Amino acid sequence: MTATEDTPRWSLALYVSGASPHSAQALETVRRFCDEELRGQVELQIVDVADQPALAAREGIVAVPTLVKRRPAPPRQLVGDLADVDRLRAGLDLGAAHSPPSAPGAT
Amino acid sequence: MAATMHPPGTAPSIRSAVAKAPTGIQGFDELTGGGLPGGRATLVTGGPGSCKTLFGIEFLVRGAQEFDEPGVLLAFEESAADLTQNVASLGFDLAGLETDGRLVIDAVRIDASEIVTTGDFDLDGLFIRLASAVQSVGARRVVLDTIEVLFGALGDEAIVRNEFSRLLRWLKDHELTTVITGERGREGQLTRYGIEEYASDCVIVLDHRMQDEIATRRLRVVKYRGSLHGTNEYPFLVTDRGLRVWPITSTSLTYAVSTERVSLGVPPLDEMLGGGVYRGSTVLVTGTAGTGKTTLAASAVDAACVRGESALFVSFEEAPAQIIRNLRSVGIDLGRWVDQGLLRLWGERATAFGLEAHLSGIERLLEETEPTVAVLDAVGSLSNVGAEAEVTSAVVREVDMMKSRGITGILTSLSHDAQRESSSVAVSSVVDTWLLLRNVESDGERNRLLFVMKSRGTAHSNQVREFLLTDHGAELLDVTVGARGVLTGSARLAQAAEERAAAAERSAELERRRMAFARRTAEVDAEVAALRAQLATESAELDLLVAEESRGVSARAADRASLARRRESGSAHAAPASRDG
Repeated sequence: MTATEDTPRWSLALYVSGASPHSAQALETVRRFCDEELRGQVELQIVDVADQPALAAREGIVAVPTLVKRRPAPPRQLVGDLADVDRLRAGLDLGAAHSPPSAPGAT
Repeated sequence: MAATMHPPGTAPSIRSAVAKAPTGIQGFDELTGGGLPGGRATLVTGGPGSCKTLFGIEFLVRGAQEFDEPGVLLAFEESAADLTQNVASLGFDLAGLETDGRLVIDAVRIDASEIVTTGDFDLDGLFIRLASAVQSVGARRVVLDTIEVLFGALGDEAIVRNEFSRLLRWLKDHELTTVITGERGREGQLTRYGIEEYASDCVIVLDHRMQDEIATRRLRVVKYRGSLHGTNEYPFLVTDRGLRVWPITSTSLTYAVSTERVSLGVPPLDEMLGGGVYRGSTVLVTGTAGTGKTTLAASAVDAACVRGESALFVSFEEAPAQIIRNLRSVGIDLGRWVDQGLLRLWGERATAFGLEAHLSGIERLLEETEPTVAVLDAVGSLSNVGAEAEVTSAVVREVDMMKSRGITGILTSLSHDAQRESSSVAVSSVVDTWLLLRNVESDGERNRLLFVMKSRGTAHSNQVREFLLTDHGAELLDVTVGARGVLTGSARLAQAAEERAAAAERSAELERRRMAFARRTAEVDAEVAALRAQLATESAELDLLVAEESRGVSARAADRASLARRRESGSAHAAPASRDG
């Protein structure tokens, strides 16, 4: 669990599984991304579904890895190893270069 | 009660080495020879509203309640609260089972609009949730409803396919009996995403179609590896106790039979049948409109109640109050039996719910009432509800229901064509006794005739009887056979009158002869009397003459003496004496 400020603008959770080969890559990508793009504005929770199945169930996690954007609205699930950085940015409503976040979820 | 619905040994023809997990769904386990393949996955597919979810839920609920097999439901489409509420009306208490630790419902909410695919993934999230749920209650059964949601939501179909196949392997490794529901695909596809190719052990297709504006549900076992199974489409129904499948072809003919005779309430008819019908047999009464089918059936019910037995009278044409009123007019009082709790009268339009609902309703009535005699009046009404073949199969099932319970069944059926000796519902081959009522029209009136068309195991009468509805019940009369054939009604009366007239005439003639003879006798007697009288007259005259003669002789002698005396003493008295001479 990593929180950088008291009430950061972004709240993210990455669900991983120790047995999943894609989890390690997703973890590395999301850490780097938060560091580079959202420094100081994000809290990131890392959850291993094997340890907390109830929490995963509550948050509707099916696929692993899944990055959950809890804040800001709208909530969104980014499924996959985050290899596609453009989709990651779009999913977090960041746009390519601070363009208006007008098309949520459109892929 | 529900536990008795699936006797594993009732269908000996369908047996296999594959271990079966009974579903507890009424009728389904008979159809498949014991249930679903144990420890394997079964695909249940169908269109919207085809009850595939309900199939899965009942499989879990019965498993938990009746077979000590806890279960897990992964619900992809509905929330746990919605599911619980939806099946509560069927008597399934999902919340209670969850509290008891016999069921886990994990509603997997997937909102495609919230999901962005960013690269490779697997479904470990789902697997771990499932594994955790399975472990928490020691589940033996799993239902995935409807897992195809994943294909649409997660985008990368190749990955989902791969993961789905991995999931099935996992389920199989853990020997979990699984039901996977799928949405029927277009153009002959069993499922929208072709997942039937993964479910290699058993595939069941559910169908919900409108036929003649009546909804009919059907079930078909498309595939069942390692097991024989019925291949027909079987109608099924959602009842208030869950699903009910009707495996008509697996109904084995293993009823207990009785040699006891029961009366149909019309003694001459019982006599024609050799003392009544066998208890537990089925009687079909056919006839055109107004031939007295209902009255005959009511007589049998009345007779049962008189014996103190319980009875059921189901009418598809009349309301109970109307039946009681109408039958009272022919002297049959069913109202008192209803009041005494011996008779249950049930009126229901056959069109109200469709055939399957109708069958389910009948079965429930039979179960609740436990009658010894049951009347279905008239099964022909079902023709409004379904196609002919379906109606026939429905009636056959009704016969089975009654026979398997040892109930003496009386079905009435309207036949439209009096000359055709068949009923509008072609079930005469499954009934034991077939009574045909027929109107015969002659001399401006219609009269009823009764024939015994067949009666199994009985030396029954081949005679035709006239069937009368009197104010004291149904009666049978020996028909009069005259020169023009069987005479009924007025013709019978006319014939009788003619015979009476002829007899009267004969006796009048005799009387006339008798009187003539008497008259002749009198004449002869009179003649004899006259002759005798004449003879007597003649005899009297003769006597008179004789008397006169003798008196004359003595008088003359006296005269002579007096003359002699007068001659001796004077002649003073001689004049009068000479006058007498």
